[in-house]
Amino acid sequence: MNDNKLYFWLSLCGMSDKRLNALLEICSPAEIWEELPKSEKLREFIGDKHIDKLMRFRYEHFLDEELVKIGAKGIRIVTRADNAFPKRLLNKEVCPPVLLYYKGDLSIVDTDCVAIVGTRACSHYGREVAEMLARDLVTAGVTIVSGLATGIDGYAHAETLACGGRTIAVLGGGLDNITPVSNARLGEEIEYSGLIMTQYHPSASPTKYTFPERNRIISGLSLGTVVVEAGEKSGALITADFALEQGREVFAVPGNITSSKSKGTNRLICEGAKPVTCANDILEELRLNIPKKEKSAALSLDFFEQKIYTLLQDGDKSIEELVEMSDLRASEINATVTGMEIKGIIVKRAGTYGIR
Amino acid sequence: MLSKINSFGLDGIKGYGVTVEIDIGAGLPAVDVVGLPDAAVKESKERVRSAIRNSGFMFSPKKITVNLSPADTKKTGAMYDLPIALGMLYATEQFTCESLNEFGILGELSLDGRIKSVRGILPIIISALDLGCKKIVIPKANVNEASYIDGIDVYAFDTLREVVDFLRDPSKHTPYPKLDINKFREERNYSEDFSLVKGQYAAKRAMEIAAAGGHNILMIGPPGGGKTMLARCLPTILPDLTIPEALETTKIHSVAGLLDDKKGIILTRPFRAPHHTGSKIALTGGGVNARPGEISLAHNGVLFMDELPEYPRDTLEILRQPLEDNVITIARAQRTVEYPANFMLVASMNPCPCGNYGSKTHECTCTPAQISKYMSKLSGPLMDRIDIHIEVDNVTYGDLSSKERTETSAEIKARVNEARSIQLERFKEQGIYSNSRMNNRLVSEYCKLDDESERILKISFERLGMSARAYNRILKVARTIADLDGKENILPIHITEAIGYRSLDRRVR
Repeated sequence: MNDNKLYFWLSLCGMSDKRLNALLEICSPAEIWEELPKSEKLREFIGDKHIDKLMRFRYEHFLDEELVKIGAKGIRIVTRADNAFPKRLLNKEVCPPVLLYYKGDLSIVDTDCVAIVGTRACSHYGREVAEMLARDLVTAGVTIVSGLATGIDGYAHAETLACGGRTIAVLGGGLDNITPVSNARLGEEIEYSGLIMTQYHPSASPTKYTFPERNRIISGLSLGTVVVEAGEKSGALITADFALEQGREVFAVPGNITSSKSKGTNRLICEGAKPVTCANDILEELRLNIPKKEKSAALSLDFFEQKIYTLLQDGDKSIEELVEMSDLRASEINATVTGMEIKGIIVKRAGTYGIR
Repeated sequence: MLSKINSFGLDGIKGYGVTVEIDIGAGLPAVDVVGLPDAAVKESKERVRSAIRNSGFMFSPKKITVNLSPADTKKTGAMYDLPIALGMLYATEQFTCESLNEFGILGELSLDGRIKSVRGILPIIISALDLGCKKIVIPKANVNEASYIDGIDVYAFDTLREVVDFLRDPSKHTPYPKLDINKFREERNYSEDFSLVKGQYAAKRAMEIAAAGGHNILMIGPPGGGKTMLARCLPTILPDLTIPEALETTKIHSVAGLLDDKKGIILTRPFRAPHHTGSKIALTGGGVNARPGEISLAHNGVLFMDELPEYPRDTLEILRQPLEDNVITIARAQRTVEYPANFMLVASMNPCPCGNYGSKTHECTCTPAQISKYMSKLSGPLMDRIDIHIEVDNVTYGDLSSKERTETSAEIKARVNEARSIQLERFKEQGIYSNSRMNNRLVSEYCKLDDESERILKISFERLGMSARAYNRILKVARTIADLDGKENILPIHITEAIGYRSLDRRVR
């Protein structure tokens, strides 16, 4: 009997991680296996309900069969006994699970990770910010952790993949059926180019208790947690609370004080979370490397381009404003800004143009 | 006694010859109409009976058989009343006419013997000419639309009595004088004018390009931004109809029975704005007696679809084939008809369900999922057929109150007309009238790019993540921009401007 198998056995009993961790403090997994049938003290500590399960599964060939079944689905297991188990989760504050089921590349868990989380019903602002932060953090070599939910989580994952970055999705249910169904394809993509993991048995379905539990793993895996958008009662705020308990940094993206979807994040800022206006705010706080902006070669602009560039230096402008403020015609402006956009000098942001 | 009268039927917007044969013989008094008549044709015997009696002739109390040949095509409408009545009078020898078979005759009769107008005179006259008919008798109410076609003598009358008098001695009458189309061209007074649209420079420029090249255009913007106003102004800058175009459009309106009898021809480009509650058939045409729909009535003109995503999905999808082929083919159990549908699609939509996405003045409250659901109502294939996308934002108070003089529609129209005449010259061998109708072969022939433009286009596809399907659209729009600029070749500045009108392709990412 190796420790991996013993941890698997323990994970099947349905005990909460908190009690399981308390149990493991007083005796080792091997001792539990040996002593369980005889030790009154142990039985008392564990409780009848869980004892029954533990006794029922206490056959080595049964455990072997189960492990083969899970392995056949392409799902792998890493337990605490394993060196590959995420180091950051082993922190006592995290209250780590005894094992994790995963698909994908486990080695990325010990890289610099930042969690980007937020409400499912996000606004367009939230999406834009989530994507911008994911993009810029990826450029700095950061791994993006999130929960594969619709809304902010999904956009952060998708943008990371689009930029060729590493991303980790932590689920609140088993890996047999990736939920939510709308993000199942995104989940598959993450399997191939990132890591998707959960502490729940492959056949388990998510419940309202599992999501808060998995939130602690999201924050636990990460050096810091960024809440992009959260209403007053968003699950993302639970993640932020966990991050605080675990001694990790909490970042929040400020929003309009009138926007219901930014109430939670604005309150976090009041309570001391670090406001985020760009990826560098996060990188600085976490003392990660800020990528040097490659100094673009001196821009060579023609006459029209120079005019528009000068106007845009004062801030983003729409085509209408550019027409009014310059003496160029609409056709010239349109052709010039598109040309500059193609060259990568300026970008279009929802109706207006601005310098990149 | 037997008599034969030449008449015509309508198949789509083409006429075909119909021979009305009348045989009067012994038997119980009755009138039988054979040759696949529809209800209106069957009922004609009642109108004919009264019209004959009320015009002072005698209705023969014998067994009368009316055959409409060819017997295997369905005959519709009331235009056979007049030939049937004349056939009966001729068969009963109430008048004689040696040259009766030289005439094509059609018209609806009322009970008092008056002749009423019928639908589709213009297409019938054009087909009659092709069929070798040189003289035609029609209702007086239709005379104007019949008088633009040379090579055929048109005689028009108000009553059955007049027609009979005419046929007794045709040589005493002179045919109706021909009209000159250009005489009817007039300066139309529109209530809208582009000079009333303040600001919106980019949108106005896009409108000018769309009008010059006949390009389909989609306006995206928050409510109250002036999208509908811009669309309503569009007819004021559309290029003048050429004569062949005018005849095509008139034919369709003639078949639909929508022609103004006083003018008899349509000389301004039609502007059709069907509401989004309209049925598919209303848009495409069809029905039991097939009639042209809105897209055909907009032939050579504008089909304006306000609030595009509000139209049912299947209504939008049926636009795909006509947008590509410029005709609509309607197949029914009875027959298949084809109507031309070479229209310019002008559509408007909000950028999101709440309408404020991208607005500078209002905050958008939609979730990204809502926005993508809203946008997904427009399928990719449909969007591909729209050449120009333009974002129309709210105007500021400063714009509205500005005293600055803006260009009038007449000034813009002058440029549009100039660009269009370049295109007409270019395509005179090809049977098309504008850049937007170029096929792939013509695009590769007339939209050659220099190396610099080619390079810009290539980079833009990579940088802006545009779909390859946009390629030809960009070239066509660039061609029009070059025409407006009076340039023989497409320059890089034309290409970049054309790329700028593909904003929806970019947002996909």
